[in-house]
Amino acid sequence: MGLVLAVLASSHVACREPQSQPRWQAAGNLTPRRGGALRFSTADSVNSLDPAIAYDEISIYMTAHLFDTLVGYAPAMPGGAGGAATVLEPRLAESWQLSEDGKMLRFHLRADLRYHDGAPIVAGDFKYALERVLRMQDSPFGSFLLPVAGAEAVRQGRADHCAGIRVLDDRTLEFELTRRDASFLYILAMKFAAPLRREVAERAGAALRREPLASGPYQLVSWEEGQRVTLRRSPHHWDARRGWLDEIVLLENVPRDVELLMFERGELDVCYQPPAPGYLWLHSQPAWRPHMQRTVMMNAFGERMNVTRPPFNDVRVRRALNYAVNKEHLAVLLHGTAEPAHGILPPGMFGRDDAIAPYPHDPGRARALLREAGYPDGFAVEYATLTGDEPRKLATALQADLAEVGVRITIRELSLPAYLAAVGSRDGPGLSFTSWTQDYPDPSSFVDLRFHSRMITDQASVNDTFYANPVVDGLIDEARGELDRTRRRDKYLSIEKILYDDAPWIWGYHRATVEVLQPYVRSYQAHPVWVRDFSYAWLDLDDQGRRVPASEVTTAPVSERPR
Amino acid sequence: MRDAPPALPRRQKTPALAIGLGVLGIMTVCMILVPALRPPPDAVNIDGGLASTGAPLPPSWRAPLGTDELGRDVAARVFAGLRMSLVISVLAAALSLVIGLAVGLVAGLANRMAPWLDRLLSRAIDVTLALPVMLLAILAAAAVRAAAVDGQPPTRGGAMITLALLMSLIGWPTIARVTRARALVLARSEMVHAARALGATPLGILWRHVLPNTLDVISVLATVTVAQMVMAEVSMSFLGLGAPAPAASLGRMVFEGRVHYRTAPWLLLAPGLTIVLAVSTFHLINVGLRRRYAEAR
Amino acid sequence: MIRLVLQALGRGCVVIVVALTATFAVLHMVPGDPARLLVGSQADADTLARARAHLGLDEPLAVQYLLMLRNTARGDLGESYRTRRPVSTILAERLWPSVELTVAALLLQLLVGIPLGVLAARRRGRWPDIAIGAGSLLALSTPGFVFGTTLLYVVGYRLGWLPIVGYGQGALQHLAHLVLPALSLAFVGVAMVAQLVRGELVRAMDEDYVRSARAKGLSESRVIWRHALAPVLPPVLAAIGVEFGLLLTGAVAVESIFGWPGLGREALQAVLELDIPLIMGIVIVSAVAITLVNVVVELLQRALNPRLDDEPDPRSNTAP
Repeated sequence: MGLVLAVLASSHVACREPQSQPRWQAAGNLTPRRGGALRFSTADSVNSLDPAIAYDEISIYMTAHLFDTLVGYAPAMPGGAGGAATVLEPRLAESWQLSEDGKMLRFHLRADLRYHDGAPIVAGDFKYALERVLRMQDSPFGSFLLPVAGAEAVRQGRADHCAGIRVLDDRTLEFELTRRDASFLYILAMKFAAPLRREVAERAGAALRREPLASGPYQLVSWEEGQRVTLRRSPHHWDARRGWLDEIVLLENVPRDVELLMFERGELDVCYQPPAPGYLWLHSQPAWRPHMQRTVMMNAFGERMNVTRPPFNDVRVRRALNYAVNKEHLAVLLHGTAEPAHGILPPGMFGRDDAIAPYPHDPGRARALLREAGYPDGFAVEYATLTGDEPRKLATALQADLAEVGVRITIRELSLPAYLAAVGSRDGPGLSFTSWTQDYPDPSSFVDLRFHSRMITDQASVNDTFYANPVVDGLIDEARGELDRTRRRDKYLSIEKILYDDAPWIWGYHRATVEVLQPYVRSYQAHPVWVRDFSYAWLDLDDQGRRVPASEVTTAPVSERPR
Repeated sequence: MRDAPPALPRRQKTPALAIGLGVLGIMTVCMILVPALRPPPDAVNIDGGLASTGAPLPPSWRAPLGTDELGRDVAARVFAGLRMSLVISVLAAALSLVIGLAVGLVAGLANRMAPWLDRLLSRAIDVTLALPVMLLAILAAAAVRAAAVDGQPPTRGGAMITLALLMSLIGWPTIARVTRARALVLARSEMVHAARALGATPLGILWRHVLPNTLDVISVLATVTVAQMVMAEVSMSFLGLGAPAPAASLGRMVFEGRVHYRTAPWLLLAPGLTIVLAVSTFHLINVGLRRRYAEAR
Repeated sequence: MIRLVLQALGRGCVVIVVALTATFAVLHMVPGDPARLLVGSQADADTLARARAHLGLDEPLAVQYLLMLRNTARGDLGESYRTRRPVSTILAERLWPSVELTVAALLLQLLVGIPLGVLAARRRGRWPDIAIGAGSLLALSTPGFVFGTTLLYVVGYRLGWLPIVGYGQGALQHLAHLVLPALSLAFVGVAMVAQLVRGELVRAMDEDYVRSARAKGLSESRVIWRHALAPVLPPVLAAIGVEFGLLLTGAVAVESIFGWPGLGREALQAVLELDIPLIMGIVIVSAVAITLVNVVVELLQRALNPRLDDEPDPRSNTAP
């Protein structure tokens, strides 16, 4: 009742909420130790634990722990640069060789690899898993494998086996590619390329989504769908660097503002990217501030324009809009979690030209460009964005910025499916919110998909700017086949420059995530690819494996503990 | 020939009606005055209206109800939002009433003259009441929202009318039921028998005899439906389907304010208390009207 | 009696078909491709086409509609697009928490609302009546999620008396998790029931049979609880029945706020992601539940009040 509102009001006015602080402390161990359960939460829920299906961010939180692949990413360590974790290193393969012509790739598996059920992992399991992905009609990953010789035939049902994936013996696997491909190794690091034993898959059938065959450091214990997923350390895992925690528990469907409340009460160990009010609250709490950490992720945000539709077919208009947006305001509105962008490639990404400065905020220049382009009074246009607190806030700020140079936008908030259908259509809105997150940390996962003319279709276009530039197309194709890193980088640098000038987007910002950890959570940092990967994390507990209440630690001052 | 109109009671037992109308009057004055005195409700003010961290500013002399997360003046937005909410709700209530009355009266009168029509309309009412209305409203709103996204800016008025239309889908069946019940009683009354005997057409009977005698029910229903529609607008906003941004509407503001309860409670309290006030005003008027008619009877 | 039940069930079938058709029509008016959500925004045209074929979305609309009706009639609700689980499994999993929450909320409404209504009627015009009247007025004017959020923050977080979100493991934990969502859901209903009971009771207390009971020298509370309340119950039951149907799948806000694994939250998510088979399934559950509840309420009303004739009492409908 209204009385309750009044109570809420008085609880704020009369007795301001006391300062919040950690209830538990680190025990003070200097080296990683095993034990404990790490609990975290998501506002959404896991769709599937079948690596051939799991494609949404939440499912990947789990598959990142369940499955290992031939190659994997270096750990994201606290304080380490985000880019470091995008380097590939051996995982289930101990080594690999590329042939002279760059088309044959041979992997040597480690000895004694086992699934969580104790059965050995052999080269044939990789072949089976990949062919399964190709055959599955509803797997999002089939097209990633098309560089492999014979993959298309399996996908179209013309062949049972993929001729380009060859099992030489139990520990040797060979891929034959139809053309040189600099990004292929990254594709083998995606979780759908994890090994899978045929009889397990065939016995489980559709139930494989709930009965994953774990090749990674953790295995599934239970999954009460929509409520919680529990993982346990796999007994047969080979990698001593990973798997310190006894259990990992993901609570599903916890609203984001509630996540922070539970975290403060000690019911969660990590709170991931609190919504703006939560972030501001934490920021005002001196006791929590040292436990917040920020990671620049591999993403890009901005506004995409349909460059074939007036008025956006005029590059002067597109540049004018880029000059019209005030990026300092963006930084304020996103509370310092946004890095201004000059293009789609995020900081730390290979092939990014760090020398290019983002378009400055210059309304005068924007108006001049609009005048030149024949829009002295600006124009009115529809702007499509997603439903949600943050998109709405940013859209309103954009509206104000653009109004200053005479461009009047009407905001249309759409649900995700409607939004995707609208922006992918040639007749859809000319201007809309857009964002991109990589599948793998390589420029090809950004530029090739979003700006190559090959990705244009009239409906459901992946290249939703409908930007078609033969020069860019050529550079992208050359870069893909270029195995020399310096020459490849040069090509992407050229693409960066052209895209900056042609401005098919209003280049916006790259988003950093902010997490807050309980003081006893160690060796954890958001991973640029898997986002939430606790493989390397450990809990600093006492010798009985219990959390140490904050008051009991008096000896080691906070600043002296290693972080 | 008419039944006597409800006589005014000599003595008001409860001041509900007077208080309700009084508060409504004060709110109307505020809705006109406050936006005139404050900065425009949609004026984004990032440089002046936010702390350096990007936090909204608490109430002060400069902004009596504080600012929101875009630095806009909450006082201006609350009263602009009240206006917007009332316009949408009154529109939705009016639509519900028109549909509900038409269906209810026709069904009630047809009960004697054309029983099949009554049966058909009653089933329609029953079926509509048995539908998962909330679910369908969400769906319909999603459909309408996304329809024809083609780059041409739609008008804000159009969006509001669609929203009101959707909300009226929730309101009409109850109204139809109640008016049908009243019309049934009236259809059996001597007045209507007499009119029929004198050769009046069904439409004439409806217009001249039945409608005037349902005015008391209508006014009672109207006030309660407006109150319900204000709440429905809040629910629609919760589902992400409220008034289009950046327009201020109370439902939307409460929804947007719900996550700020710790750091900027005024974003929840200002529109929240205004909703409570507005809705209880309409309920008060409703109570007052009901008592008045009950006494008159 | 049997005829009545059969009639009601027949009506229920009509409701289900109408609901399915309406939902189907509206769903296909929403622009958006569910297949796109399955394969992600990087997927090329070929991958998308394969996924569409997998979901059967490449068939003509009329065929899709008839297939949907046929499969539903056979009891096959299909698989959820998002999770690929059988819809019947999901519904079975979500139904119980929803029933639990709804029943708890309705019980609270009756247990708190009826005594409040009786109190207000007995002290008509004096301060308990005015306080209860004003309180219900405010309750009816407060958005449910505002109340829910406040409860969660004050009782759950600040005072720390009860768990904040989730379903809880083990019976005791589970009951503790049920309290706050049930309270939030019952909040408006308590006011409604109190008002309804007060209004009906005030009317009933002037009736002859109550007067005669009083004349016999029975105590006032005996008069009320034994005699006056009897005719009040049918409209209250009817209101509660309608509410049960609405809340079972309609407690979207409360279930979302408290992370309660019920049908309402599932429905919202399904709509937002265009998970067509799941939406259809929830619509069916909802329509069936409403139909069944209507039958039960009607039977109960007859049992309580045998004099009830076929024409519904016009008064019972005037309650807001």
